[in-house]
Amino acid sequence: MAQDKILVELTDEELIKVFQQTNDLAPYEILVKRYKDPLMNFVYRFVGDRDACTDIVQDTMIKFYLNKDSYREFAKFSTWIYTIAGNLAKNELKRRRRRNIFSLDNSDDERTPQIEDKSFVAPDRATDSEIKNEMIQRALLKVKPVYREVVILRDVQEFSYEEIAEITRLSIGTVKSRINRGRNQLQKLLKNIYRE
Amino acid sequence: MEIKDYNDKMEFSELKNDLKNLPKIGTPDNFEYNLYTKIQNKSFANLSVQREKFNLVKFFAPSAIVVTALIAFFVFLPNSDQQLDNPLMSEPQEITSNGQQVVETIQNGSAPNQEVSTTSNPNSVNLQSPNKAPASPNIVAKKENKYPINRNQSVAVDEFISGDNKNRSDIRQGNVVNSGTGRDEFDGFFVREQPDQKTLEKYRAMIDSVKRAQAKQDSLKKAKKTK
Repeated sequence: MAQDKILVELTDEELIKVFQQTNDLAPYEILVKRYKDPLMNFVYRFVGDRDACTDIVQDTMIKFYLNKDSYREFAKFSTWIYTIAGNLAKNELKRRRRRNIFSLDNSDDERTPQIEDKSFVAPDRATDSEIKNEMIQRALLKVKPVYREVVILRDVQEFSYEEIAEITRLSIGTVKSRINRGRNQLQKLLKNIYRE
Repeated sequence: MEIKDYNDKMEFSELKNDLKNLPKIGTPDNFEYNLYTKIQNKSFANLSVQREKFNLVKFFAPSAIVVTALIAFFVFLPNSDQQLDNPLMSEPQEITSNGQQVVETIQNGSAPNQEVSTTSNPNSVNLQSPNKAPASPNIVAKKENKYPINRNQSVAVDEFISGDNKNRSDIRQGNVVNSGTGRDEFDGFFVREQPDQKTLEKYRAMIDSVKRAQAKQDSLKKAKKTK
């Protein structure tokens, strides 16, 4: 119990170091608890499908478990795990695109985001902010994936430019320009809400 | 040149604020339970599968097969001349009465319609290889006509126009000009009839008896004169 308390106080990097050394599940569980929701939020904004997002985050955690030794101390744990989640999310998008190309039924069901049961309210009861959030999510999914990823990391997950550059393995200049283009696209898509 | 400032805080401020305040999506309640169950059961085979490493032999195998097939095709390709020679387009060869092929029909201006065969007649001429000297003294090589005009079936246009052809000595000369292939036009198959030996001997005997009677008559006339 005392040991668990000590572990909780450790930083991410210290926890993974303990996990690498002891192969004990306790530090792994703490890291899973810390990152499952932020990763879920990131992947959901990027992919837009709740069930698929759950699978992606689970796969991310399993990859982390299997490849714990490939983590190096000089990198931040958060950027490392976001890189894994981002790559899996991109793979999912590619797989969907391929499926859409070869699919006879070209319905747009997969492109429209699923509305969470908890947040779903009848239109007459829906507040302005709820409708707005849904519109923003729909618009986000229409932005090019290369821009969408960095905009989410910056404006939704609130990472620094340096961290985003590390996650996406791009230069800081490229990250900044992509964020700007992404925001531009988003603002054009939401021109009914925002004045340019 | 104006440098774009991407850190402009005023730009997109409303959008950034809305993105920041988007509701946070969390994992389902059974997320951790499912995750640890998967880890305990080790049911993550699809994730642990490594990408197959690049193999030079496997990479070049299809191209090597294609190259080998191409080489084999060109090496064992039958002679293109044989392939291009369409048997329907080539001129047919004449067949003699006893079923053997006549190699070549030779046309000569001075002796038209003189037809020779290598097998049917010992005096026949084979002109398949005109440069070769005849192997047998009985065989006479004759030149093939240089021009595509068959005198037997042709007309001298200048003479025909001027009207001089009426006085020409070679009455067998026809009035058709060949198409210019250098060979006689194929007139179809025909059967050569061999003369009956008995009839020949009969006529020879008749001629001989006439000659002998003539000789007798001449000798009697000479005897009368001398008397």
